[in-house]
Amino acid sequence: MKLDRAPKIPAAVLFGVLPPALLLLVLGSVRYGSSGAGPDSLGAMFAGLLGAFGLDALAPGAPLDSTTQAIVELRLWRALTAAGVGGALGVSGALLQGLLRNGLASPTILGVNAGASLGASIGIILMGGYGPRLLLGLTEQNPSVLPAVFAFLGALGVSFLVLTLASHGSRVSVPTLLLVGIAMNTCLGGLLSAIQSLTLEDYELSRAIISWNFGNLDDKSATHVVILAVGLLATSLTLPFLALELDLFRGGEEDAEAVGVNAQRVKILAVGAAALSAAVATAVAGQVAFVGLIVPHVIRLLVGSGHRSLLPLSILGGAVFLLGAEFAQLVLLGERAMRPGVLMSLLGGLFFLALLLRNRKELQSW
Amino acid sequence: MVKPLCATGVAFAYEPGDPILRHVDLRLEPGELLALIGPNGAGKTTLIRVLAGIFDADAGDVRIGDRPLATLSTRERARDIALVPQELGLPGDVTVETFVEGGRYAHLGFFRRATPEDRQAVDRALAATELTELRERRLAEMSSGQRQRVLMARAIAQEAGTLLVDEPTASLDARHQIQTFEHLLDLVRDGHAALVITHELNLASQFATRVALLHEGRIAATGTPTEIIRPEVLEPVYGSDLHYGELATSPWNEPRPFVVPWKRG
Repeated sequence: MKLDRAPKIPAAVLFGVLPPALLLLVLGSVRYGSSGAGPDSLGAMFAGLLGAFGLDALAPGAPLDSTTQAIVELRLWRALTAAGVGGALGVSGALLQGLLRNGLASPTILGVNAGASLGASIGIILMGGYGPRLLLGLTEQNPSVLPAVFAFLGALGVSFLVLTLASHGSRVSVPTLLLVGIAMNTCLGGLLSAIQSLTLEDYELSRAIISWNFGNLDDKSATHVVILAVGLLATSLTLPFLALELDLFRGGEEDAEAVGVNAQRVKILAVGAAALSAAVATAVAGQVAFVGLIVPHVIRLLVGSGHRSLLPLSILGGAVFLLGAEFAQLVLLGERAMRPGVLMSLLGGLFFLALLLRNRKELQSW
Repeated sequence: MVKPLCATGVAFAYEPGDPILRHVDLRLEPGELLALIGPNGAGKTTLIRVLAGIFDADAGDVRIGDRPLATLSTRERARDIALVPQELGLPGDVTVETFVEGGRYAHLGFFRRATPEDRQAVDRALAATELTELRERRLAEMSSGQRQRVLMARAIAQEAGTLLVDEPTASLDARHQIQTFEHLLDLVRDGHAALVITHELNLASQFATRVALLHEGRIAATGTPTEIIRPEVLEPVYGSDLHYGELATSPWNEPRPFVVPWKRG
């Protein structure tokens, strides 16, 4: 990853701008979001927000009617889910780009997305009548649980399979990790196509599988937000033990070892944290591509490649990016808004292409 | 306190059956500037990496003081041994100061926060390599000679007693070649131990306290420069197109031999 230009802005500026931007986007999403008419005034909105956390006693005016209250809560959990998914994917990408010393790395390379898709498809098939009745009974209450749990297990399982296959003895080889990731993605892609072709006759089933792959931020609850928060917290706890180490990795793995970095521990911790946060995000919201690729890439262009700033800013940046894109399309497109995975693929692909073309000269020296 | 670094019967192969190092015995004492010479492909860089603990020896053992390297954690090892690689793929957007701070990694505590002591060590290392003025400069903006000094500065900031230096003068002009060896000489006179890989036989001759010749995976000869820089020792390795002489003065204030590649007519 060659990056010779000076950072464009001090990291402190982004640390100052992104949190208030995120707060404004959350409030904006609650005020002007989806699902019909919301709170008709700022006061009503704050009353609704307090109500969402069971603090309605603190609200000054009369409590909201139950419909408005429900809409506020629905929008709030949706916004927080979008922010959490964006943040988790952002930091996952930043960790992997740092570890692999490649600005084109993303959670996809670990097989997180393919693993999650496979898991979710199996979950959907089990729910769709192909599985034992016990599981059916279990999932009647909350139909999205089974695909989500299977997606999580699939994402984590596949990324650790990739990590294990890329290890020789106790050493993890970074180039092998990249190649095994590509091979694993191809294998799982084939498996997924097989599942889709076998279930093609069952309209509902294949529709559900394809739909999952478009990502989904609707119908989120406080539970989803808590799951995301726990995943993000666990990932964040590893960052103080990875930031300086990944900085030292910039000169190569052996060079990092020469100044005292335990390279094996860094690799396992970084891959573990990246897989966990991407798996949680994917389990909650389905496939949302490109956030993990673009966000750390752009943050690095802005503030440089020092991971003490890059890693936390990728959380904040990912949150603002995904929620901002969602908010923008809700305002501009209203009910015709696209699914997040689709939006990110369209937007992200173009954006990334533009970025690469702008830096074409620099890229030729790779 | 600087500990001696001692390799006994070291063997190493990247591919089984194709040994790079066959049987290396080498000892590096505090106060020594040991020049490791040898033809291309002799295994000099491999040896230095085994001595630094980056690669584990297939056979034999490497000890720092009385402890085998394999029993040390990477951090413990880095507090005793600093490796100065040949020019790395250095991260261009990093400033000199930030890069040199990396040398303090093995001294940092649980939360990786630099103490005033760490900052002083960085300042001293920058001053010793005449980089204080350039500390805010990004590595991409520096010449290869300056980058070589940055690598040296990081090793000095590491405050390890033993320095293992891989071809520090490969991309330097004559003045900076001398300067680099003068830095190493200062460190050695301060009590450090330094092992330097070099193809510059004349720099080795004038600055080193001892020269070791690595050939076909073994130490073919070791001794003072006067004992090694002579036809009987070098010809079997480098061939006969070498012209030998002696200069009366050297940094050690004693006569030292020199050698020039010279094709005879």
